[in-house]
Amino acid sequence: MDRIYKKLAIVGEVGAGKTQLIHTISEISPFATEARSSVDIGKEFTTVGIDYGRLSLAEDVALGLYGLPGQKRFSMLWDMVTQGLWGLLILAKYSDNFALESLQTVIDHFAPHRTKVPVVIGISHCENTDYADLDNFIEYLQVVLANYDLASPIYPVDPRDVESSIMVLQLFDALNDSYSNDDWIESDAG
Amino acid sequence: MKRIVCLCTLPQSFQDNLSAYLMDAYDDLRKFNIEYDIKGIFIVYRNTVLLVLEGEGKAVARAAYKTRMDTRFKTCSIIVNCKIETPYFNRWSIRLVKPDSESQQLFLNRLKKELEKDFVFESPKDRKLYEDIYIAERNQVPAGAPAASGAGAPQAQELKHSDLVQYSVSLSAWPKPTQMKLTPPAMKTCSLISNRFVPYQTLIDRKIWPTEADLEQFINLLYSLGTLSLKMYQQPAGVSPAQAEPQKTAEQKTSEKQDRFSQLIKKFITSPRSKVN
Ligand SMILES: Nc1nc2c(ncn2[C@@H]2O[C@H](COP(=O)(O)OP(=O)(O)O)[C@@H](O)[C@H]2O)c(=O)[nH]1
Ligand SMILES: [Mg+2]
Repeated sequence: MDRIYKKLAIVGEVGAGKTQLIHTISEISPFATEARSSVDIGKEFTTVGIDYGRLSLAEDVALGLYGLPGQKRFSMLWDMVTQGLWGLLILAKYSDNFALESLQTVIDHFAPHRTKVPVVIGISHCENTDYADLDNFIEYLQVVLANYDLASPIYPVDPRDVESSIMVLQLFDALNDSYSNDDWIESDAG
Repeated sequence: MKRIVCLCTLPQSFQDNLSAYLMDAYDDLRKFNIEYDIKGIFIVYRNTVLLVLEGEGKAVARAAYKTRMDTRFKTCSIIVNCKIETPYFNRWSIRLVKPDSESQQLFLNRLKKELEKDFVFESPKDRKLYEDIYIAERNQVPAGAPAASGAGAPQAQELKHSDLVQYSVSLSAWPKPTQMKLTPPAMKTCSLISNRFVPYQTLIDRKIWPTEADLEQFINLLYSLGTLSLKMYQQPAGVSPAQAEPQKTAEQKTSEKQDRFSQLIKKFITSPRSKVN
């Protein structure tokens, strides 16, 4: 059993790249774990429609990766990963008919503006999008986030690419640090 | 081809917070405009929305009609309705007016020039609402901070070290990838100041950047993008529950475990790996 086990929830519509991202990150685990435990955990989730993978960092330390469908009707699955959540990655597939309601449902449900769980919005399928269109899409998402008083990072992610996938982890690490290291709090009267 | 410009107001005072239904209004129009190949822009400043619609005559008229009938807006006046030879916009987009953004001021001023000749303001109130969008000043900067003087003609304002140390800084949106490359120090700095005020001195103490000059340069860059807010840093008076204090979840408090996880993930992120894998 892992002594430290954290979770990364990856929510997004079909085709956004959840499975791909989980695969890319799991593949580069620096620490090979006994197949047994990870396979067992995985099975339990895949039968209910959750993609599962893990980044094993040491024998007893791992980050579980959970791919969750983005539609509201699956929100009971989202509740399965809220304990020990290290981050919430919302994968938004770049497109003209981007589903705003779905994004709002995910944010409403996870309520990062209250729980302070770090959020990153990754835009996938945008490697051929022109800069101005991408800019506009990001501005649009920024407006949506502003509704929730969130100023989360919104960046292109290519789940097929190792470096791009690691950048996501790096963002979550930075966000987690900014909340856990609170030596500055005493010095600010707000 | 036709251009219609609508000036709409929202029913309540939302201050800097935008309502969810404003977003829905934009989204409805976005879908409509994709379908009918309408270009233009949806500019939001406080309670005012300036809508520029360009495209085939009938389609634009329908979009304008749809907007006027939209109960999400309290009022909607058409301030431009004219034929155009060539469209000014080549996509449909949204912009939040950020008073501090220099590039945005330039963009707005150019747009103003383009629209001006065709104005028909039916009421002075409309004119006032419209003008307000353009003279949005650096109103997030507290008194005493270096602020743009003349309205509409922002000058590049440098925030100097001696000024900065008197302030706390907060970021309302991360820089877009087109605006700058996200380096690890940029990531760390943005994470720290996302939507909460952190004393500039704390950023110095963190030693995130190789030198203080690098930090200063980065903060100035954020400032020029219009997403940085400043406020006077106040010395803590006795026990003061900091407003900026983030709520912590139970597991974030178990710092020992956090540290080990954090160390391992950092090691993983920074370790070189073979591309073959
Ligand atoms: N070109 C491109 N393909 C991608 C991107 N992200 C995912 N894909 C591919 O899109 C397909 C669907 O991805 P998948 O991970 O199965 O999506 P899921 O439904 O969210 O699990 C796969 O073939 C991926 O390799 C991307 O950013 N760009
Ligand atoms: Mg999948």
